[in-house]
Amino acid sequence: MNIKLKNNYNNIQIQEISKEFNYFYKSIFKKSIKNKEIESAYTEACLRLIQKYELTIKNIAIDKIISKNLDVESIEIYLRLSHGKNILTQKFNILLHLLEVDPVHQAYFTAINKQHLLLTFLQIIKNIIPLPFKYLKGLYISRRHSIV
Amino acid sequence: MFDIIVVGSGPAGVFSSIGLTGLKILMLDVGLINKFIFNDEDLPHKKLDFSSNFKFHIGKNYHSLEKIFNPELNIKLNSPAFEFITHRSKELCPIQENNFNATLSFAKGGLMNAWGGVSYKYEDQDLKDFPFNYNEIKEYYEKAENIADTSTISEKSKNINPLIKTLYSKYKSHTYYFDKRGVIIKKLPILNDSQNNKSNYNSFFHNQHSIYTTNITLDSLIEKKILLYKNNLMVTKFVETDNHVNVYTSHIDTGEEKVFSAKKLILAAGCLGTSKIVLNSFNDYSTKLPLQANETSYTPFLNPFFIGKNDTNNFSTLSHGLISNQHNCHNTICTSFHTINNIAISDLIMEIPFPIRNNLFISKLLKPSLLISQIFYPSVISNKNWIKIERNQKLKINYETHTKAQFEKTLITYLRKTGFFSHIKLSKKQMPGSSFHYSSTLPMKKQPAQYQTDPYGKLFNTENVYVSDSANFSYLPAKNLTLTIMANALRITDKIKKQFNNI
Repeated sequence: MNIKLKNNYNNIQIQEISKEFNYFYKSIFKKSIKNKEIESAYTEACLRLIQKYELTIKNIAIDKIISKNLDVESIEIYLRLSHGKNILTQKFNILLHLLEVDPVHQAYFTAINKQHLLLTFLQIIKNIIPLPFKYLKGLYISRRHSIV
Repeated sequence: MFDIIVVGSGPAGVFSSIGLTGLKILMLDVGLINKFIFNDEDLPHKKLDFSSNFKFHIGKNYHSLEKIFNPELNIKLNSPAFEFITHRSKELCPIQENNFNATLSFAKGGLMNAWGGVSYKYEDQDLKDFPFNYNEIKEYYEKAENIADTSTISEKSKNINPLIKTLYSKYKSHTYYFDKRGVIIKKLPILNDSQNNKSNYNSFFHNQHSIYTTNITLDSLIEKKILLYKNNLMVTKFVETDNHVNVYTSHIDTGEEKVFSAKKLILAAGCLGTSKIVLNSFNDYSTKLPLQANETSYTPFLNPFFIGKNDTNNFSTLSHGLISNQHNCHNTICTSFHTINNIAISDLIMEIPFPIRNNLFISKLLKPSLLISQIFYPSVISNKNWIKIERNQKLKINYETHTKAQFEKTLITYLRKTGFFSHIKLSKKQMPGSSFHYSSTLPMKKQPAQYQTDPYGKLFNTENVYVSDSANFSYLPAKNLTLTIMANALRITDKIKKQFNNI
């Protein structure tokens, strides 16, 4: 099965979503992705589903986040915790669902090796600590740049 | 003319046909076919390339991603493998719902295709409101189990998930605590497809190779010419004449109308479908039939000792359940425990309140330690919960009265004893109807009145029309209803067959 985009989409829309895909991916994994199939699937999913469902917060300036190279991860956690489900969180969720079915990204989603319980707890704590800082950063950026 | 027309190919329709073997049977069904067939070697845990995995987990119509936007969608029906179950249902039977999330299926085999295989028997306390007792249905339960091969997963089996094994062994070491509270945790009887491998059973994936579905039996009934199967037909109404019943159908694509005749009619189109046919047959657009449904909720539990263990997909996802307060069906709660093999981590990620990159790491470590409990509540009897049809054939469902029970908190307290932890805020109650256990619109009564059925499912004020699906249940306990639908269909058709033999 080859994942290809339907022909009836607007080229500008496709380019914007493609930019967004690469920007979001880089914000999570700190590297670029060159998988056109996943990119096409992301674009198609966004165009299909976002049109189909009404969203609670539509007016998030995602283009501004990308053009000004803002910290999208901080903005997302601020929006998710303060506004609930929103278009930015939903787009990230689409991206993660697609990456999860890609064998190349399996290691990010599946614990393959067993590790010591103490080490695991320390790693969890290490991943919890950034929350307040990222939340505050997200709040600041969103207000400063009128993201919502 | 046929002896019998059976409407619907779910558990009620198929088991009614089995009970009537030897008579001239016509089965009328919409019967949309599942085109998503896969082989053992295609199973999704054997990681394939992106596009093959995409086909299994996302679906070419991006079906599984819809849950991101609509959390009320049933997690099970979101799998692309289950997409066919509800295919065209909104088009074929539009529903106007108030506070209810109805699921209708026009697939061959109906909603049973999404069944987890759990096969509880209703005991005397569950049948309290029924016009018969356990002894009167016992032999039919046994017949149904023989046809479908019920078994539990062995305690020593390698296929039991280690999390479930831990839960069960801790329960056993605290039996006094649980007994005192009227709680039992036990292995669930699962209906397997006996001809296939019982291992690696996954209730969240349409695993055609390990769960029994009535399609297996239906195909063999068709092959052996025990019945004539006609699909793509929607039954709209019936009209009784002196000694036979005319059944009106409409082709789902062309709209062409056809009439079939038989000596007797068995309605087995599922509770909502059967109710619609009955109301339409009497041209009744005002009566509100009572509706019962099992409300349900999900609560995740975590066992800290399993955090960071290596993740594996090779275990059965559902093998044990919990029953609380077993002595009164109106208060009995049933819980089944699911491990989350083959459920996407991406489904969990946004539920954890941390930044995405951290969430990705945390959820990977937490996944092997997570157990999801699905609580089923017994139905609430209320005249505010009803179903009717409109003149334009739209079904209208109203569901106002909810269960007052809050078992989630109690369950959290109980499971703490076994080393599993959760918080009430993590519990998610589903909208009524999400369990797709519906019943009692045309309940069996000893002395039936209008829109009720007699103890053998015969519809009041008719001579030859019977209801054999859950529409005729007198009450809907928390226990899964499927095996009872099968057994009750056998019980009803046994009586009908005797009538034919007497003629």
